[in-house]
Amino acid sequence: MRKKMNLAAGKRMCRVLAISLLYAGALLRAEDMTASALKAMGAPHHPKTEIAWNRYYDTEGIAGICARLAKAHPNLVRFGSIGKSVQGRDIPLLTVTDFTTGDADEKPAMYIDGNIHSNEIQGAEVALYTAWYLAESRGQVEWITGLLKEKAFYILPTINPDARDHFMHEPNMPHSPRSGLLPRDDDGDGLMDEDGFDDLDGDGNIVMMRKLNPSGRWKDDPDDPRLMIECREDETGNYDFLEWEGLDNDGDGRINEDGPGYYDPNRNWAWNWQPSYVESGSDQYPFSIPENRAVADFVMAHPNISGAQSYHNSGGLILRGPGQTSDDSYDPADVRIYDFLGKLGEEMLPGYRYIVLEKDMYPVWGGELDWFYCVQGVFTFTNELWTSFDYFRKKDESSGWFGRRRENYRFDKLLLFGEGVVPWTKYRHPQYGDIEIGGLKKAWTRTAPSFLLEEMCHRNAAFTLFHAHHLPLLRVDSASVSSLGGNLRQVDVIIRNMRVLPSRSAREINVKSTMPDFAMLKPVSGKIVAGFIVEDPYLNLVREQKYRPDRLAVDRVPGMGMVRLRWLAEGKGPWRFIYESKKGGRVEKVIE
Amino acid sequence: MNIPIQKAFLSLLIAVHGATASFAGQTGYHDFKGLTRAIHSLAGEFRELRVESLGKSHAGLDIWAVSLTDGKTENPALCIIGGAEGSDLASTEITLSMMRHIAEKRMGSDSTALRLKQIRFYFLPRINPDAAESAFGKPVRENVLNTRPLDLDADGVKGEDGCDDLNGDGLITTMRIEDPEGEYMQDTLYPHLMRKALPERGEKGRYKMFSEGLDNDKDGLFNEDPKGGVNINRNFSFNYRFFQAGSGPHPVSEPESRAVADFLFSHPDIAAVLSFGPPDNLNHPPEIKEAPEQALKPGMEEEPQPVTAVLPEDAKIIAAVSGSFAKTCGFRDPPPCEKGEGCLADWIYFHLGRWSFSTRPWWPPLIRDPEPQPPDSSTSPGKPKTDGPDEKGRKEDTLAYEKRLWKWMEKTGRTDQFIPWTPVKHPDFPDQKAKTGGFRPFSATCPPPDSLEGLGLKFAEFAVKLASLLPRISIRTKIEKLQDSVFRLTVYLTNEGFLPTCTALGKKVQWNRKVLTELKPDPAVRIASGQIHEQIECLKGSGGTASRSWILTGPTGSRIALRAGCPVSATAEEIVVLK
Ligand SMILES: [Zn+2]
Repeated sequence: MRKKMNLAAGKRMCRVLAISLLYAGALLRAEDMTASALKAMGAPHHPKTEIAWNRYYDTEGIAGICARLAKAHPNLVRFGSIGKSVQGRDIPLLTVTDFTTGDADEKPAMYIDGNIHSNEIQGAEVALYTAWYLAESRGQVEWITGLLKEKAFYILPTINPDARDHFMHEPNMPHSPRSGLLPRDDDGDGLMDEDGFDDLDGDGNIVMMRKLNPSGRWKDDPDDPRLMIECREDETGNYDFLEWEGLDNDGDGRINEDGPGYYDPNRNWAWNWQPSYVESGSDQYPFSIPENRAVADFVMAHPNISGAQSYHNSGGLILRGPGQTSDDSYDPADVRIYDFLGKLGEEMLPGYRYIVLEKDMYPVWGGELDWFYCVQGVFTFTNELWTSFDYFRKKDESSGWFGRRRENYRFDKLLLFGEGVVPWTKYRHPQYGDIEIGGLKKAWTRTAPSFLLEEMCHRNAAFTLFHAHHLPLLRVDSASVSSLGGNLRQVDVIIRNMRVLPSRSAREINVKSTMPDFAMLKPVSGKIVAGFIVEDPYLNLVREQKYRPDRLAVDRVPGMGMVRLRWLAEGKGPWRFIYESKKGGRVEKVIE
Repeated sequence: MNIPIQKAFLSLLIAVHGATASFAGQTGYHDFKGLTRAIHSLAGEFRELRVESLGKSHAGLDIWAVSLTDGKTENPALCIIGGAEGSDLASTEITLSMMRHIAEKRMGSDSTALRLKQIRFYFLPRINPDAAESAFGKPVRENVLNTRPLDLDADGVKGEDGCDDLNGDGLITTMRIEDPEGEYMQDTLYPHLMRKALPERGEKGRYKMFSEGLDNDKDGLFNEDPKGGVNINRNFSFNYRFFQAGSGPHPVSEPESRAVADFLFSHPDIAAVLSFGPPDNLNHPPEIKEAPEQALKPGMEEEPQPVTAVLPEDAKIIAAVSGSFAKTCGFRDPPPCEKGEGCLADWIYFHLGRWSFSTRPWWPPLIRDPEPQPPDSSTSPGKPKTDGPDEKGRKEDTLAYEKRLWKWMEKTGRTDQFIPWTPVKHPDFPDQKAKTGGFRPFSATCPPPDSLEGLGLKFAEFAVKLASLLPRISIRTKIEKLQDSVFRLTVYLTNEGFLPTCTALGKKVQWNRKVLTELKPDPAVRIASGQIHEQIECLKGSGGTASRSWILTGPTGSRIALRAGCPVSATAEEIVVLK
């Protein structure tokens, strides 16, 4: 066991070395590569970091890219970690903003994560691409330059790094591990992770096992014998489908029933969490999984996060909550904003559908997106990256999340030239006897093939950039002072939100889960006699705050809307007006 | 101040009071230091007590766990948890006392001792040590929150408006302000007790009621943002309420609740937990409600839904244990049961899936006298005053409990436990009459110290009783010779204990280990049918049985080592010979 660990550590060292050597070369080549090229629209020209967006990076690869970005763009990108995974890997964090115009923690921020399901790897690439595109486009694309001034991005390419590496470097199938690697006893025998898959033929892929049986109900597809199809009612077949590649390692008559993990990190979030007899994989209690807990602690410590995006695969979906129909937490006012962004996404992401998780897909207790919205009040989408629409760009709404089996094989035959499939090969199995193993490789059907990956990255990144653009942007619209006779003056301030998202969601206001915004008027001398939120200036409908009139608690500035504030103050000023909103940022103005 | 002298004085005090600290003029209750010393001194006395810290509270105080075992690994266990409700000091003392009594009983050679030696005990005397420390500080205040800094009034500042000792008597009690907008009035029979006026009876309120303190942050609210925190007994995941003062940012958010949860999850040997509530299923066993059979269409799978009521099979068992509790302890007239929110005891049953028994450690005995009042038992007792947001003021039901308390104090000569209403100058009410007064902190929840030992003894007796009810698996085997060198081995497992190996609900919980039967045959023996590991979900109590059989081939005289059991029952072993 120990020997194996050392070997792995050694391997990792070599890889780090290789990666760092690679950087030196890549930096030089980046110049050459764009020097004699016409800029294609969309791609940053003369990027300081040349990165290939047609492959999938393991956690070291991700860390390498993060480090290069931070090094090349010290005023735009900072590379850190939000904590450690179960096996002690860092959970990488990129903070991206124009640091010359303010600290990230003081700007309205967009949170982006990928890879919570460890086998759903491409979220990391989309997240990394977003950081790279932002950093490399600043100064080239005006819209991006402005966005980086106004907003900040917290980008966590993988929040399940252990199992990402497990997916990449250990034998797996397209749907495994999904879990993280906190050891759990899945079959109630007191042993942990003792009966997972076994890579019988040692090719790094876990595929299917089949066995010849003259009365089996499966047969070869006549068009592509690599594919098995189910017999018609009146047909005889010749095969039984068995399990995924594996053995009964613990002698209980079951195969592969206690693999690495097992829990579902996306059922372990605190809102509407239920134990695993209600929601399978929810684990022991909310945030019992260290990686999730690190994310939750990070988000709770960053109340400036006002939009969030998490990436999964697959199916081409833009999802919002709730995960349960019985959950009425989604306020209609907020839903209108979700709909606005979701529909924008449908337009930007051909083949993707904007849907509601429970209503249009399946019920989920304790999902990440519900915790973000229902507890933190953050507008949150989950994108299911990769759609079978991309096989042959034909609309086929009933093809399922991974596409039709026949399409998987057809695409593989025509565009991957057979690379995606392990052909059936004979094997002698200790429990089943003579069998054959074969089927789709792990990096196929849920993850995009190389030449479609960059497009996926750009389109999804663009969707989140619009989401970030529409995070609140507060401005003082006007400020006026009028004399009320004597030493008393009336100060009127209008604060405006230039974007679609409110400075606090209706949800937060409904449940009082977060601090209100505060509108403050600080006199140089004299006191603030009274303070009001003006509901209708024409009918003189005002709401007075009797305590602390110098610091008015305001519910929010609505999207594309405004709030009118009024004070009665002694003296003739000047006054310092400060509007402080955790999610909307801070605005100051001196009023004369 | 001269620190060495102060230290010397302190140790003198400890020597005099036997390592207990005092609060509100009472000795006999332990502060954290005293508790730590008491635990370690007991562990010094009894070799089989082992002390372990499960982690630290927010304030850095250890959450102690003491195990009582001879070190044999496969014994079923009973766990006793005190102090979940932070202001409940009594259950900590009772748990300590149980520790001593059980350790003593175990030393003997009678049948009880023998039985106890087959049980492992875990004691967690105080799982919210931060809150309990408020009893020993200055001023003394009843507090249920740990010291996690929180901004309970969402004004951007953490913990800036807690209680204040207005009259300098070292106690946080209540205050009443004469105010025409007040909803409270003096009770007609007991004018020193306050209650809500009932407009439907033509009554008009005259007072506003608050816990003792100032509006430190000048927001019009009193004591709404104390230093801290989270109530550990509101922080577990069953029936958890978000966005409530004291419930914390999310379920199991606190180091304290997490330490307890992790401890219980990692101890599959714990068959049952006795903890101290609210809630209270030992005096108020759950209703036995048979769920209507839901007809499912064939082939349809039921979408699992949260379980919110004790399953009828389990309710029957709990009712029996409750009966045994009443018989063993003889406590009378329990106050009504409070429904828990995010509480430990419910979580143990509903989410951990183990047997959970819970009761208040103590309540003021009911003094019966004829009184033209609705009977006390029809209303539920209010929570004692706590440092924390004053919700909607004092609930009407509080009065019933206060009357019970007062009558008991009158009868036992403890009326000094009520601080008479005394005028106080209140800067936030310069033109109004303000008075402080009310029951001394802890007088409603903590029994007089001299009754702790007796309580501990009774609870220890109950724990011994409970230990005798734990599952106990025995095996019987049968060998049938089917042919030359072909045998059928049948193993019959029986649960001799009263409690099933698993609650009916626990069968669904993946963390509960099943009953496992393992065969280790001689190399010459082949298992023709069956697995070397066979699982049984659950064995019912009082003789519940299950059997498994194998067809084995091998030479006559071959031996097969058999083990059967699960962590909540001792493992049974046998060697069978094929013949
Ligand atoms: Zn997923």
